[in-house]
Amino acid sequence: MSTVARQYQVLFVDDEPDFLQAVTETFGAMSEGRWQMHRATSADAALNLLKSRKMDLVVVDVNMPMLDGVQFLRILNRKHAGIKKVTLTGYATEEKRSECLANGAELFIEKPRTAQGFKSIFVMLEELLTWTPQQGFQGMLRQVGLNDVIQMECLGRNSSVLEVQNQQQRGRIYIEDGNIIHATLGGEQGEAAFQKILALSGGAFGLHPFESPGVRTIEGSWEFLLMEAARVRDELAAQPVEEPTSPAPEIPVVQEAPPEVAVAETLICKADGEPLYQWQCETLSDRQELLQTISQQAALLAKGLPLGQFDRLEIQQANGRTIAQATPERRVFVRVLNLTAAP
Amino acid sequence: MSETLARLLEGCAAAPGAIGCGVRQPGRPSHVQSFHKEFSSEALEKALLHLANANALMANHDISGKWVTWKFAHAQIFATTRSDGALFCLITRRGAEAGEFFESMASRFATAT
Repeated sequence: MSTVARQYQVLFVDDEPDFLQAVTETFGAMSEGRWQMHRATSADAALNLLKSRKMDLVVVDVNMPMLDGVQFLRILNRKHAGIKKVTLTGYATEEKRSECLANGAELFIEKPRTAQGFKSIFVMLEELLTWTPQQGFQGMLRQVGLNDVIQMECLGRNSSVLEVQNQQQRGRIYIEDGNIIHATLGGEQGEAAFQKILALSGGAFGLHPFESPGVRTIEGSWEFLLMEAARVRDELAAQPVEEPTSPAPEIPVVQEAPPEVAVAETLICKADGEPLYQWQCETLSDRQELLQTISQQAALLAKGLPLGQFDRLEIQQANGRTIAQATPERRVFVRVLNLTAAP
Repeated sequence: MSETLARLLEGCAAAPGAIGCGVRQPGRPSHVQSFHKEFSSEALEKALLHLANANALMANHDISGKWVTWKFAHAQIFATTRSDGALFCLITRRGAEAGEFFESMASRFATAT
């Protein structure tokens, strides 16, 4: 019995009609009928088309007038979250690449200028069309950071083993019922290993089912551990670059007992403000607005001074601390109460 | 600007990783000190204004604190606001351990006239 191959619906959005025609005709021919091509010369036209046709893949030009590719990606994420998205650009920059990938683009590709270029991109897009994302938490790891995963595991009172690996080292963080209980990196263990894992500048990580490490080397609260790890990372970032022959810098380990703290509320949002996780936020919309306000004010501050990209705002309060983070990838709001603070 | 505040700003040069500092009092001219050539006095004055606005906006969301730290890739801005609306800020290199230094300057600022 013969089977009929599925025909993929592919929409190209670009304000240059000549490019649009060239790319759809070329890819249509290369696909030998496996792709049904659709075109739109503006984001508006594309959104109208999406109302009536279900697409498998949308390929968007980043530099469109009025509503650019990044804004269009945000709308697609809200209204058509299941569609695979790719951005094309004639002027690739690292900043634009990060922005597009943070807003849900699966690929960020430079516009082809040669026949070989068209062929390479066709192969990439076909690979993407036939790729089935993994289900569950593993599937979203590629879009979140190590800190976020630890926060989510701890806030969710989960038990798991987070394995982190780069070219030189492999580390493990053991989380049991939302508490970080043990960490190993090479021959080290405990808080020193945990902080070194979070200070790694690159690598891959994956979440595995919990297995008991047999020992408990970490007692502190996860919020404190993450804050300490952030402080250690800051200190390392501030240190001058060592010569290649110099020994690796020693990472300081905090010996004093951590204060008793409790998380009062948490909100984790995508970069466009869409909530991913919230815990005990009394007024979600207010917190979302606050994160937006902080992000805007940070942009104003950075406009006039060479401060670099905004990371976070820390608010020291009489009874605790609030941290609002706004990066191109996501926004996080955590309010922590210091239980040992004087009333 | 009072001599106390002038001394406070001059003292900020000793902060770990000091880049600049400033004081903004409602209805009075702002005063800034730059310790880094890429941070001009004009830009620091604008930053004071943005910090004051940000403070007011956060208060609308019932978020206020003893002091705040805005952390960017290359620098961090410590800021505190008094009940009379006067704002004091210190900018240092990111990662410089200036928190304790700022806290002590902020307590001096709280009572400075």
